[in-house]
Amino acid sequence: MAKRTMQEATFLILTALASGSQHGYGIISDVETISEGRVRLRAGTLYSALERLRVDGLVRVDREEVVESRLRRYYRLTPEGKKQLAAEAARLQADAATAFGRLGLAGGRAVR
Amino acid sequence: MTHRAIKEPTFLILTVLAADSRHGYGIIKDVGRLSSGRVRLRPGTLYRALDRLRADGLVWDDREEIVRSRLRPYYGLTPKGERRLADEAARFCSDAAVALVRLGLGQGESSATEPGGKLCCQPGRRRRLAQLGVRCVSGSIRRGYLAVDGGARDGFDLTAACC
Amino acid sequence: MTDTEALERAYRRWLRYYPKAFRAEYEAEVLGLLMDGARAGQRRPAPVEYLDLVRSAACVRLCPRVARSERSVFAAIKAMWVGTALEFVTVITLVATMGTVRANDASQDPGFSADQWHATVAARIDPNVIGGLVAIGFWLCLAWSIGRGHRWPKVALPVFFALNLYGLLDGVLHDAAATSRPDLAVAFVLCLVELVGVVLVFRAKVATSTSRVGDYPSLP
Repeated sequence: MAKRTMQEATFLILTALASGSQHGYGIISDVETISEGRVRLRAGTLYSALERLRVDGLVRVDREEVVESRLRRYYRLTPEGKKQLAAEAARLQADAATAFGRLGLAGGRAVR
Repeated sequence: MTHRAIKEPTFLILTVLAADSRHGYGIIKDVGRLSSGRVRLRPGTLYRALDRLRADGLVWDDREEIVRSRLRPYYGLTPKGERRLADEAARFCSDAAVALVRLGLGQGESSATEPGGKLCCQPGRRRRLAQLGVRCVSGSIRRGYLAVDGGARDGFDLTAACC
Repeated sequence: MTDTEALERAYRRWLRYYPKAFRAEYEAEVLGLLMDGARAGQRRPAPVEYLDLVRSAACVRLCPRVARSERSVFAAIKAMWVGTALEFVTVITLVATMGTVRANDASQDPGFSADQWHATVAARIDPNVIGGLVAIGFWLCLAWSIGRGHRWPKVALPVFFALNLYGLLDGVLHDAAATSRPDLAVAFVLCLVELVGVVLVFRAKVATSTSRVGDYPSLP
């Protein structure tokens, strides 16, 4: 499991790509949906993040298309990216479970 | 209610205080235990976080006790803090659920189609969470195992830990 | 010029803050995205868009570009920041204690004049302050360079360490009377930090193919 916790923008981008390959605009609108409108990625932030994710080996380029004379590049998760996303999701679940347990909510794992 | 994303150390501090009031050193030890040693809270980080939590009305000064001839303040969670912790925990659970469903691990509906609600799983929990101000939507995540690269088991038990 | 053309010209101007290789890889995409999100009749980017592009470009140019799994590299960068902080503290202390030094010198010599003080500053204080500022610049350059996976820190750091070690030993053995304890302590810690940096930099096995902006064909 990854020792460092993931930044929120990174987690959201990886989640957006988890259902398949997407292009830049698709990622931005998907992130907005997933975060319930809280996170609105801008072009600059998105592409420096994608660059970072490519260097880390979590994302790769899937294919390129030309739509209305505009270049559209599709990105997808690598197996390592899927693994790290799942690890981060597992960490979130564990933290949530502990919190629910401590709040005395039924079904959670009570940890003393 | 949309807040800026909570940081993990702050979340763990709220979790520690949810069961019982603690003094500073107790919080640091408990956070280390809850995170299985992963999060090592430093006093500077702790007191900066406590300061902000007190300013936001999520944590309060519960009492003071003399421990080894020093006066130690004990911090506790306010009702608002309880609500906030429940909200954030449900959000963690929901975020995790969306990611896992999209990755094809675990079955269920992604909450991405119902804005404003969170996947909170068991019905028994929904009422209590509603009391705390968290809105739940239908859906569930059942047990799943991590399968990467076409079926190899990695040993992550994704027992719906939230549920 | 139409609104669209004006807006595109403005975006292109701001995109120039990115390195050339980054632009070669992403400019078409980013521009398309920016233009698609533009309102009708918009001629200039919004301030928040300027901010986003500038911040993002700064990160692409300055932030470490080594895979996050390279722990040694990130530890080495942290060591460089520790060195920077120490040098910074030294310089600040030097400047702050100037008044005390002057009072000290004046009390020891009744005929102490302003000219003598200026000479003292020029001979003893200025070189140290300038040296400290240069050192800060050097630490920062090293931090940036290690993060980009360059090779020259592997040469520069050991040399830096050797020079500082020589200076430290010289201070201890030959000039013990004139060098103060705190100075020696700081110099010792700096040498230690440099040594740690050298070890970490040599432990890092950086795949230089992905760490230089400009090797895009090798990035998947």
